[in-house]
Formats: sequence, structure tokens, C-alpha cells
Amino acid sequence: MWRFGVPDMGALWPFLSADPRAVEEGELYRPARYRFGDRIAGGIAFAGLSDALLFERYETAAAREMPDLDALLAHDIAAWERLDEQCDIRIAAFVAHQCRRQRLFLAPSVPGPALLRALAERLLALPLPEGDVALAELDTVMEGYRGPREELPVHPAVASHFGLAWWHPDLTYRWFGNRLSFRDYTLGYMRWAAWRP
Amino acid sequence: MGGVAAMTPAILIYGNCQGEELMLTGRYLPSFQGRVAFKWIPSHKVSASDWDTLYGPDYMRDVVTVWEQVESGPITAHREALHRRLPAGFPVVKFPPLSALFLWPFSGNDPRIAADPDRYPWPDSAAAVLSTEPGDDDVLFDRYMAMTAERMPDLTRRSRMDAARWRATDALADFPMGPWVEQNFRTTKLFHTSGHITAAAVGMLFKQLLRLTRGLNLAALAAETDMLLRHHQGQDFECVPIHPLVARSFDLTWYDPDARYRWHGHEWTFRQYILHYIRWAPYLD
Repeated sequence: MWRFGVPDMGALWPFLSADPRAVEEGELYRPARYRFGDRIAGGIAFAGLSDALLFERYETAAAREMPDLDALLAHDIAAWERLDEQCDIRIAAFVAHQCRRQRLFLAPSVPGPALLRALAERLLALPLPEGDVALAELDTVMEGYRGPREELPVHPAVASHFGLAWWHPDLTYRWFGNRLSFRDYTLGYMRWAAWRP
Repeated sequence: MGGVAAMTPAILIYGNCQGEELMLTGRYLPSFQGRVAFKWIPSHKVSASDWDTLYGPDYMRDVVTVWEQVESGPITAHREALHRRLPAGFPVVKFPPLSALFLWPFSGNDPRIAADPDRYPWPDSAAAVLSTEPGDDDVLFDRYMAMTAERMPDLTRRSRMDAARWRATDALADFPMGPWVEQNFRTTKLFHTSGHITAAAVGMLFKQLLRLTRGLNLAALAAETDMLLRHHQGQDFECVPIHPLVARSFDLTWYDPDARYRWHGHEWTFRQYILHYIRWAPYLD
């Protein structure tokens, strides 16, 4: 038996917090309509405001309340190292080294294809029957793989601070059956808008 | 209610997978939640026993309107089973299926589908021919492009054949969709495959059905539909890329030669899709 862990990341989403609106809604939204809370977006009254004004308020508050991102990343790295201590597959150094270069996380608890591949490579390098064959097939099987369609948009200031190589201003994110920008996602979140999977 | 539990009135959709899109759109529309339920009987999957086990009197009890997808050809036993459940004068809105074979002119036979029907369910007869040939990616793709250029059918004729099919099903429905498809397919992507539609087509179909359903606040619901679907991609879990010669022939303004098309958990270019298809390569969901 070999133990491995799948790390989480918080530093890319510095406003993560619980939102009292995030409750299960029958069969439609489980665990919630927007399961990743945003304390800035959740704290702005949206009634009667245009999209332009609402988003401007969000951006003003986000700029004012942006935490120390390097400290958040240091906190993540410490958590990845603690996870490593419980596992046979060590991934913390890879994640710390690559988290700016590759899109390792689609959402705080949703690993991206690059992270899944790194874990798969390490697992398949273990002395497993046919492990070398499976390792050789990874390129084919993972070509163009995008991972789960639950991509939590990253605030442009966060992307800029960390110099994320995979990010660009026109990036759109896959949100279940939808594809939308950071701005559109944030406006939808603030208004707690319905979306279709 | 005299001891009878209050029921949420339901709209029953009878149709292929496009019916599922309509059902989901209805279910997630805020104004319908708790007020109108949506159900779907998949016409392409229903079995004879389902009518007794799944779609009996209890299933029909809350149904107040049926949205029935029509089809050309003789009436099937399943459609008859549906009709037997509906009293005379029951509100039914008939809608046409949407299809676009002309955008994928190499839809045809691939013998591999018989043994493995779900891996690549949209057959490409030219790629199938190459499936047993040796060669690296460049050789195979070059051969595919040469073969398809040589064998490209008369696309205008193909589009006329589709238009004739649309007219046939439109004539059976309560509203037409063919003219709308003809007017818009060049400027708006309406199809992900020959039978799977984008959110633009889902929205149009849904709003037409709302318009012909009694007792609804159409203006408010149409606006909600637009909001709900504004970022939605429609039936995009399998997107078959458009051949560049097809895009050029029809002057598809939305076509992007570098576009990546979703295939389950992947996004591939036209070239990547064709190579995966030729090799019948496994992929991730």
C-alpha cells in the first residue's frame, strides 16, 4: 500500500469564506449554488445596482482588502509539506515549484490536469505490474485533458501578483455547462444568480 | 385540497436528447421552481416495459401539458403509448427535432462502432478508412485531409437535403425551426454535432415552446431563459470539429481554425480530434 494525498490551494482565491446563502437547494444545487464563498462578493448589497456599478464596488473592496498573498502561499506550502509527511508519494516540492508555471488547481479543492498527471506519474513509477506501460500511455490519454468543469475564476490582481504563466486577461472559465469571465462569474455570484449545469 | 396532496403541475417532454436540454432549462428557471415541474421521456431510449414500470398513471398524474418532439416517418409504438395516456383535447405542443448532417459530410459508416458504440459515436467514414493504415500523426492527418478534399460531396446539395428534412418535421410541428436554422447557422454556432445543439438553439426552441404553452408569463420567462443560458454551452460534452473546407464552403463566420472542441474531459483541435478518432484512442471523462 502506498499513500498519497491531493493538495488544496487557497492563495489563488484570497477571499474564500463561508457564505450564508450557500445551502443545498433540493436536487438543483448540491452542496450549494456557489460552493466557494467570497467574503467580498457576499458582503455587497446588489439590489438596484447595475452590473457596472456592482463590479466597480467589488473591485474597490477587493483592492482595499487584498490580504498578503505571499503569506497565504506560505501557508499553503506548509500545508502541502504536512500532507507529504503522511504520504509515500511526495508532491509538495513539485507543487511549490510549479504553481506559478502550470495550472495545478482549477478551484481550491479541484486539482487540475497538470497536478493529476504529476500524481499519476509518481504512482505509476512505483513497482506496479504494467506500470511502465501505463506511464508511456499517459501522453495519449491526457492530451488536451482539461479536468473537471469547476473552474473558480482567479482575481486578475492575484494572477498578476503571482505572475501565473497560464493566465491572461481574456481567460474564460468553465463553470459546469457554462463558460464565463471572472467579471461575469463574480456578478453572478454577487446576485446569487441561477445557472444551469 | 381535501386530503389530496398538492401537486406541482408538470410539463412532460417527449423527445430525444434535445428534450433533456429543454427539461434542464425548465428546471433551473427561477420562476418555475416550486411552481412548474419538468419531466422527460427519452424517445430514443424508452423501452416497451418502461411504459408500464416508469410511465404509468402515477407518472402522468401531475402532467398538465406535453411538449412532444415530432419525427417524420410512421408513428412508432412508443409515440402511440404516449398518446394513449393523453385524454382528448389534452394540451400538447409539438416541436421539431434539430439536426444538421450537412455540416459533417463524412458522417457515415465506421465498423468499429458496432463493437464499441460509445467511444466515438459520431462516425467519420474517411477517418474509418485510415484506421488500419500505418503512419505517424503527420502522415495520417495529411492523408485524411487529402482524402476528404478529394471526396468532399456537393455541400450545397447536402444542405438542401437537410432543409428538406427540416420542412418535413416542421410541417408536423406547431412551429417551424428550419427557417431560423437556415437564417442563423452561418453567423451563430447552432450545432455541436449533427444532432446536438448549442445553447442558442436550446434557448430558441425553449422560448417557442413557452410561447405556445397556455397560462405562462411569456415576457418574464423569455428574459429569464436568456439570462439562464447566456453563458451556457448547450450539449457540448461531445463536439465534433468542423472540417475547414466545410467552414469555408458555407462561410461560417464563427469558425475558428484554431478552435478547441470539447470531447468529454478534453479540448482538442480539429487535427487532434481526427487523429484520436482514427486511432480510436481512449480519453478521460
